[in-house]
Amino acid sequence: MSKAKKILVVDDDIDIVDQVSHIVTALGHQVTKVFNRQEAEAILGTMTVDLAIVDMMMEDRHSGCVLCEHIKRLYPETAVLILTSVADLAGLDIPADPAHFHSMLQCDAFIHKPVHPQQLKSMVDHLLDRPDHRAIPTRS
Amino acid sequence: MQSTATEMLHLMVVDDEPGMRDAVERTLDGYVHQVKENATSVGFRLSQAASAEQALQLFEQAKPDILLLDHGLPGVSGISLLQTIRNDVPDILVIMITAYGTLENAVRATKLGAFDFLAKPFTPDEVRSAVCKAVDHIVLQRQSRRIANERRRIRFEFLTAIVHELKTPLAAVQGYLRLLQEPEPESGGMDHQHMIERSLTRLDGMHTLIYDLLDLTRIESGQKKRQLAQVDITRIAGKACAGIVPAAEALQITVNLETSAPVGMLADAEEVEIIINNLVSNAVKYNRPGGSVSISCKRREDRVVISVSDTGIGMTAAELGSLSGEFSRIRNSRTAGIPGSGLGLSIIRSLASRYDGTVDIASEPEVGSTFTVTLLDRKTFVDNQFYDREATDWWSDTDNPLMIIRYMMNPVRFAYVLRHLVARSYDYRHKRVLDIGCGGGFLTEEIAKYGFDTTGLDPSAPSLVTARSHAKIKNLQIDYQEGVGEALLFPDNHFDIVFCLDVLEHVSDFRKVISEVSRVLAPGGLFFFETVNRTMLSYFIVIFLMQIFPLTRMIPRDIHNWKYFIKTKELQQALKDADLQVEDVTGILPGFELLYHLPQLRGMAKKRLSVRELCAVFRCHESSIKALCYVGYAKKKGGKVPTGKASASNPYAGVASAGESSAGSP
Repeated sequence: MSKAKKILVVDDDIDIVDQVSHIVTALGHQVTKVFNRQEAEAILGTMTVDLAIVDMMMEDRHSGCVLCEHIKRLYPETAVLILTSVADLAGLDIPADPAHFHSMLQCDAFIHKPVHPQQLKSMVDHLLDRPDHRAIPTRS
Repeated sequence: MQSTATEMLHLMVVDDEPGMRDAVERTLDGYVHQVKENATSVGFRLSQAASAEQALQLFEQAKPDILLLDHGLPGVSGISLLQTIRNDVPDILVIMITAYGTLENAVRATKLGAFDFLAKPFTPDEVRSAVCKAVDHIVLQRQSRRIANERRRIRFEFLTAIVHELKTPLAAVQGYLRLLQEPEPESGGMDHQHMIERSLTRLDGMHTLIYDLLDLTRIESGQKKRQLAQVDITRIAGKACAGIVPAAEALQITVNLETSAPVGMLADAEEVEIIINNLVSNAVKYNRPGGSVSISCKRREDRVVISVSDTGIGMTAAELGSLSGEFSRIRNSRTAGIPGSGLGLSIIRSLASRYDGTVDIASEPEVGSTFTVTLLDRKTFVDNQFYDREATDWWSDTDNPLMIIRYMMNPVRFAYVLRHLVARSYDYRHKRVLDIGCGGGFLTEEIAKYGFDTTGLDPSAPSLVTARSHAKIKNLQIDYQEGVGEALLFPDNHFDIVFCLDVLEHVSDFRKVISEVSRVLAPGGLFFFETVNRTMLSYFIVIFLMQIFPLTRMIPRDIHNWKYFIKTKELQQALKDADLQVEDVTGILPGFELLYHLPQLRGMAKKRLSVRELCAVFRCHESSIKALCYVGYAKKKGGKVPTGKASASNPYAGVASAGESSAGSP
């Protein structure tokens, strides 16, 4: 495994934040926890983050997408993993809101809740080991 | 017609005779029909077709809403076009034009799905009346479709929110169980004991949410039976404090009940308990270790103020603003570990509204919040529970105070109403009438007997039970509903007449009642009122003689409170403010001669004279003196557009003759 990376975990549910942090801490990474978009944006302004694991639905349905867009615009080197559940996707009015659809597509990967530890571990390894995680086109 | 249409419907006439088509078009051109039920004005976009084939062609360009279809068309017949429409474009309402005397054609067309038929020859009025019926049908059908869609949308949003709130803790518990399943579950720093505890906490949260949801549903659907009684708010608050102390102690939070004196009010103890429990548990949950919670209960005039303060994390102005809907929770790093359903405040608001209450929140981040719930104590002004207690006596022939209403007041009131309706040559048929404060239905039944479409409204459920069963015995169709005048659950412009007799002096806010009455009245609709004037005379008779003076009192104290009587000027101002134009106000007096009647009042108090006999002696009558009681009525501004006004000097007699000529060539 490569050296310790800085990971930001953003979710409004403390237990999900704890679980995700627990799993990536076990991988040897350094974790910062926050609970909403504003706090995440504030943290990102003070430190460099290698990977942000972001919940899709926080204060509102699109906060995760908005945060993802923010990260990709200001910190293109930071990988973004969006945490979601199938029902969130089903409830998301994608055609009604093309702007959010676009920013959602900018993320590097999705993972569904409830979190499977093994799946999350391999996803994090994959995203952090990739020399250029922007291999997936993220700009329009 | 003068008024402008808010909606246009497309009407097509299909007839092989140009004269007939033009005549119908002239009849409806520029005509505007008012749909009474929802205040829509409908005008017409008109088109013509000479044959069924042409009509079908025109449908390609623009489908009509209403089709006036001749039965006897050359080529494809009217009946086969009707069948085609029924199968392919069922949205079109068809009015079949049939020849005079061919009733079987009309019947056949109706069986095949025609909305209505017009038999030739017909007058412009008959065309309009048939078309207006179709328009009413279309407009109301569209409206109910819209309402159904809106309901589906709200249901979907609420269900989505519930699903999210239930799914979130479930995902957390599943996550912990998966971690525990790992070969080295504690390698990330969390021990398994913590994971189990958190899982249990989240499951408890789900449990609470489910119970809160049930509570809220029960409260809002009215399924929860209320038991109003004199309760001590301080005692309920004390119980709530005792209940929360274990949870508070775990966080080293002190809970202080600042009030020790009893604060009594008329309320449902369980409702107040739910309010205070929610407030206190929030104050502990959103507090900081070592903080405190203080609770106070106070009486402020006719209101009870419950206030709960904490020294907790507080909220910013923006966060405060977001606390309006259901499932509204503040989510940030300070609240992340706090379980909550987001329904507590909805429940508090919903319950407080039952007491005309308000919920105010003052908060400062990192300092704390104060939640203040203010409830109106109805007991302090009038005892309307009296009507609950006496509910079974409304129609009883054994002597009871309600007989004063039945024998002394009602005959003169109803005679007044009838006289004024007759004077206006009022047509009673199919008119919608609302009787606010109907009680056991004394007046409501009189109204229903005259053929009005009658609704009775009263807050006393037991009285309504009596009213319903009595109406059933008398075979009267009356819709009795539980409710209060301050918040009428009827659409705008719904009623033609509203009665509010002997009610305004019993309500918490008569101005609110009047503005609600005005809202539900159709323009030009009538509002009949009767109440007690706030004068020395009314104090002497209604309060002193009838309620207080031991030698003469005959009705329980607190049924009337002089403070809530209404001066004629105040009432007239309130009517004016609500766009109701006063047509008449007349005084009502009992046949009262002090020296002669005092002994009789006394006889009554000593049970020597029955209430019924007393009522006969006093016999109220109309009078120019309004100092005691007064009755009157007002008209809502704006009038209905008279329908068929043009027919008086009708230039389109051609419709009828054209109909006759085409009738000969089917």
